[in-house]
Amino acid sequence: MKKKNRALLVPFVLWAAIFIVLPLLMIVYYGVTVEVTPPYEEIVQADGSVAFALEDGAVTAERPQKETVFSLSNFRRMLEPTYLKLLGRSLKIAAITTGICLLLGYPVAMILSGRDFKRPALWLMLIILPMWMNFLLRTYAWMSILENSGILNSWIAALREAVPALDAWLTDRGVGRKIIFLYNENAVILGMVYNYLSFMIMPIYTVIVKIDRSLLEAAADLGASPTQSFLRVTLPYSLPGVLEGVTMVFVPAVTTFVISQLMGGGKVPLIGDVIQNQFGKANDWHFGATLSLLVMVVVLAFMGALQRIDREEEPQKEVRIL
Amino acid sequence: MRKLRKAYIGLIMAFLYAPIALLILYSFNASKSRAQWGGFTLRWYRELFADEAIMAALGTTLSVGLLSALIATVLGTAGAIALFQMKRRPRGIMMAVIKLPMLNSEVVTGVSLMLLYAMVHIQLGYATLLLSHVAFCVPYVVLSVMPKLRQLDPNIAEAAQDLGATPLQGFLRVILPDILPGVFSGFIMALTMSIDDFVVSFFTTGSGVSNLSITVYTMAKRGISPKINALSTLIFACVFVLLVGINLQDLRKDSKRVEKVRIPY
Repeated sequence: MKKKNRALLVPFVLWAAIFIVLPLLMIVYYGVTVEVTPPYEEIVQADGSVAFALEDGAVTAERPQKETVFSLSNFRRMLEPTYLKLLGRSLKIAAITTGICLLLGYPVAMILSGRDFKRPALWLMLIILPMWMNFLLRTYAWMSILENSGILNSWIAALREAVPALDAWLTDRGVGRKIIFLYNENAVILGMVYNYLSFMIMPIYTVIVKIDRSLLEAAADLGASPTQSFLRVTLPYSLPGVLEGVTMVFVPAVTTFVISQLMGGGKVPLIGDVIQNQFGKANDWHFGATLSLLVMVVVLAFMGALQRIDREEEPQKEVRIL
Repeated sequence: MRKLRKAYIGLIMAFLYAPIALLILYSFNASKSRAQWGGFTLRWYRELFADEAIMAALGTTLSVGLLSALIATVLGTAGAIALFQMKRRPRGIMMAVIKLPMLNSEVVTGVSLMLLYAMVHIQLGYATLLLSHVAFCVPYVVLSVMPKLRQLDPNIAEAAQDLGATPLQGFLRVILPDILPGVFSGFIMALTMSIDDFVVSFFTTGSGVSNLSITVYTMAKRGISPKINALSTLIFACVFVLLVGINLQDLRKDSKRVEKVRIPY
């Protein structure tokens, strides 16, 4: 192993350069350039042939082509209120999703790391199992439940038929025959929480299960209430897991366009939707690349901030429990 | 308190499994609308297998998954060994580069690869899809092989060479058996990532080649189809059998330790 083996190193570094570094540089390149056609006028010359006069007075026989020029105009466009609002909404929805996942997931990780269940490994596996089904199919499952003529609405309709009093009560309150569950922010958040919840549970569980039980026992012996020992022992020690979980939920939530399109039906566009649209219908790759740069910076800044918290809050070797 | 805690886990389980259970139930529903139960049928399963687009997509998903996982495993293992032999500084830089696709959101990875193919004028299709999957799988393989290399006793490999083994022999007979668990879990992780991927595939495929995720996305945007229910049921059954099968032995031993559960993430 000591002997340097360049035969492996060179192709691998080359591979990383082509498939990791170069693509990112391409985003930068597209992000700071635009395609323009130089302004020109068509002129019919004396012999009947068509020529093209450029602004600087030059005349060519060939129609001027689009050319790629350096420009920061897409950055200016990115800062327009429309896009900033979209980014704001993406951040807001991702933050709400992350918060809900943390609130729902932390207790799961804590309970499973405790002694209530004989086979915590089995339960953990069951929590992860749905994640192995295709991500699109999981989202689709919620669509088929919540859509206007979906399962939930058909059950409500059946219930109303069976219980006339309920029907009358709902009608009085102006609840229509078909309740619209999808196509709003809440539906998008639900879709995200469902898809990302286990990303939060896993890292927290991995950290909590490793906490030395004797620390908790010591805390109890020294008179700490369960609340105190949670706040002073479990919580600080689980922080790295929480931060990891927050990253794993927040990053995909900020950038998704699948959930917003399927659960939001296009009514709740996020920044990811705009990016996707630039490479699809809008067909403006340069602006799409600029927005991708924005997303990249936001995500990296977010992770940088989390890392700082991690470093500052790291429990010291000697823990003061009380 | 204990009951309360158990009930909470029960609630979370219900949240996770209720949609899947309903999907499975309604995949056997004879009535096309979900408004009522029209009796038991296998019609949607028959239609699913007769649907050429879905079957082709399934084939693409499986072949891209297996091929990209295989290529990524070879590349990633070789890469991990190469990185392992580097000096600390350059290795740190390379590791940071390798981790970039994992830090970046999928959208950025997808877009960046698409722009790369556009620059060199490669037509988007099966080849670009495969290349992209290899690209985002390799880092996971590298990261799962690396720890195993660190645990290796460097003297053993040297001993093999002293005893006259060629580097290849030394690798196959001495190093590979020791790092095999890492290589294997890297392969499974790559396979899972590839099969589950939608976003990167969406940006890097073209000319009629689509995998399962893309096909489901297109169908779901158009509306609900009971065929997808049938498909989900089958996939869920496969995943269930696979995961339970892998973990059954460990679960029998009933370890309280999470490390024993094999979760290829």
